[in-house]
Amino acid sequence: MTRRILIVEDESLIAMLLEDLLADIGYTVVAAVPNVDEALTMLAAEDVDLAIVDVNLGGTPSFPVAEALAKRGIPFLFTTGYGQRGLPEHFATRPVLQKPFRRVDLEAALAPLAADLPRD
Amino acid sequence: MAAVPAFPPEDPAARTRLYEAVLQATPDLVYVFDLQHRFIYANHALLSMWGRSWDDAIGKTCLELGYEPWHAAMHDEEIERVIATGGPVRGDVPFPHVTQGVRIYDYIFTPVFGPDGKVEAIAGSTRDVTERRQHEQHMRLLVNELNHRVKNTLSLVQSMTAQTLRGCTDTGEAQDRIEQRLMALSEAHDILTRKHWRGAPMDEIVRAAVAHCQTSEGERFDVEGPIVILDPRRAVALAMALHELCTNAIKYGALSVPDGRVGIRWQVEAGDAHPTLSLRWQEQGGPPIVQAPERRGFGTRLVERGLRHDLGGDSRLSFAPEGVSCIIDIPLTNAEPVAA
Repeated sequence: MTRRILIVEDESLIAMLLEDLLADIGYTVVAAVPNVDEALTMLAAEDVDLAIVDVNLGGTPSFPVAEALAKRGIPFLFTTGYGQRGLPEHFATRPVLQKPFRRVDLEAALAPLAADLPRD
Repeated sequence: MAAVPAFPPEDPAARTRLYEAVLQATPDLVYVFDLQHRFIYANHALLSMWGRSWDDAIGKTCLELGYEPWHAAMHDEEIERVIATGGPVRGDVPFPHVTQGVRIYDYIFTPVFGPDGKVEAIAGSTRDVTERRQHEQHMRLLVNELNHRVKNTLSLVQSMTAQTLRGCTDTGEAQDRIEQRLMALSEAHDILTRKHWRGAPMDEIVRAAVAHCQTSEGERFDVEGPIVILDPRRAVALAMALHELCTNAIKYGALSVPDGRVGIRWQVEAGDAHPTLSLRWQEQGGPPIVQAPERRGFGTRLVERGLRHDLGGDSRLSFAPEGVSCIIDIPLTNAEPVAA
């Protein structure tokens, strides 16, 4: 069964790129949402195995989404155009994908997260 | 011609007058400590910074002048270091100016040697570097932000290229499409740069997007709407979408025939929470559309999904027989003031 993944990314072109790349490497994209509110709504309504979360959503930090994911025990990785700096301490150990990234980088970053999920 | 007087003047009184004039004129703070850390000289700039008179200040230590204990202790230690090493000490420290509030001061303490070669006093000079520090901080922020924008733009280019290549089987065609899309992105950036990245006027976005579709036969577009400023993200998204609509119109729509025209009209409508900018792209006089494209390419995806995602509004593309139309609704939040 393929893993269901949520994309939280404000830039539509990057969201579309992620949709294509994720489909290529065998994930099912649940949705691509541009802001915190829609991400939280989606999390409440849908089964999500994994998430990819842009740190900065049009000038607003995405940390409420990260908190909600952590609370549900859903593994996720951050994407950012800013470097590793700027992440709050309790997220500092979360994987971060620097933009721009290659398909192999995305695949390598997601693999350990997916491997830790229970088999169903 | 009179001879140039000797410098420094031999007469001690003349020498004192000359140095005093220099010290009083400088905006820097100039002062001297004795070996007991008491101020034995303070120039005009320093007395003004403290808001004290000469008589009130001279003979006192930093602590006696009301410096915070940590600050006074720091200078005590530095003065002792100058006496012990015979070398200068440099540092910077925030300090409350009596009228200007807390400023950042860069200072140097340097030894004054007596005839016996021992340190007999400690001279100091302090400069207000608040503005320079603010400027440096601003520059760091700018460089950081620039880096972020470049990375973000590179990601957009990556996405655009990857999606164009997915949709094209012919490499020549793919190259043309990629170039055109890069030019559209570049033009949107030009508009934003002219406006210092604060926002872009609708009419400039629209005119830049359609400029490459204008032909020598004259204007093919009817552009009409009030002045509206869009924030940078939305401006870029709209510019890219309009570019895709133009490309489609040239290939299959109204601009593929000599008499076809495109209307681009927008208006601002009052909404519940905030006004909505409603833009309509309407093609007419083109070849009859038999059916909507079966395979939705990058252009269509960008116009519909992309705009919805980026604008927080709605975008509806319709392939009616009389011509392609697209209705784009953009909620205008406070960030995009509508000019009167």
